[in-house]
Amino acid sequence: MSSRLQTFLALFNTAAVVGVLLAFLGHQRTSEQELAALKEQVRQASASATANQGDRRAAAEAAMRMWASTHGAQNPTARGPGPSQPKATPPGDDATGADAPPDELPPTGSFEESRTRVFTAFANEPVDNDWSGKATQTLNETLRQHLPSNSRVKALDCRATLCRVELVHRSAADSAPFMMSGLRSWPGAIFVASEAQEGEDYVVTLIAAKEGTRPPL
Amino acid sequence: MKAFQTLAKVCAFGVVALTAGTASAWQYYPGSAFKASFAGDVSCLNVQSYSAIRNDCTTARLVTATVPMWTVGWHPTSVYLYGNNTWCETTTVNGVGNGSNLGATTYTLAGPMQWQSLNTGDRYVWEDTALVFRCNLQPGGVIGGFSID
Repeated sequence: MSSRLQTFLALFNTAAVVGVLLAFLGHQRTSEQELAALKEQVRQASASATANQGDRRAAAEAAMRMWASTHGAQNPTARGPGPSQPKATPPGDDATGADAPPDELPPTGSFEESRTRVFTAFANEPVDNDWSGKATQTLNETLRQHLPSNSRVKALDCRATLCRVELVHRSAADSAPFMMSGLRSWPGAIFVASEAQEGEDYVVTLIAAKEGTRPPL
Repeated sequence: MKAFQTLAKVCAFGVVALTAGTASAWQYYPGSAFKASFAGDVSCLNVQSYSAIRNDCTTARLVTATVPMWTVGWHPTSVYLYGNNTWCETTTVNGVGNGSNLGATTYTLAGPMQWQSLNTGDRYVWEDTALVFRCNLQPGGVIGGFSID
């Protein structure tokens, strides 16, 4: 009797061990499948992120190349403060980007870096007479219609895909309502590069991009 | 031991996958996330069905929705609405609420009122800034939702 019981218990134990092993193997297989699916998802996400980073890196490199071709021969000591200390008023055509040496342009995007990139791109852009003339006319009409009476246009310059507009208001209170609705007839995106109190003037510098294009932020 | 290692790998990949998914996550918000831009217009705007917002006044009303953003870069935006004489635009705003990257104004198609999707363009987001959706919602117009990619 006890021999039979021992045999039964041995068989039962064996069956239990085999069952546990099979369950474990099944779980292992499921885990491997889930792991493979997760790996695939991560691979796809990484590929997407890499593509975005590649685009941004290419844009940054293009900006740096433009910078180097324009300012490479200048004495670095003659340059202004770096990107962390941007000038309130953006540099003009002859000194564009002078506040950001090329080796200080990291690929990540702070607002100051975007401002430097846009001004650099604008300064290096050739003039497309056809678009430049039409854009200037559109902006002039828009500004004439919507600019507060106490405000004025200090500068307006259009190139091939970008226009640089400098507006002078008496105060920030005049600027805000204009910005909310005054430029709605411009068909493209607008980058507000700077808003700064300069003495008695409140100076706003805008970059208006051609319809269907992105300003190089 | 191997099972434990497998579990650890699965967890690690899960964290990476979730992080990667968050970085480029498509976000959807219901129309009811819009608010009246001006206090006097609050009574014009009512929720339709579960989550759309409708202008019940007889003239157009300006509505605004704001979304804090953390992912630096370009983000396509769109608004799904019912109308034929409504415009929307998107803007990146900075810490003091001023616009930084203003998008062009996008208008609904003319003709009979219909559900349509407005492509409000790509907006560049800097660190710790926000996106603002602004629409001039016509009488009887309904905003069903809006999205950011």
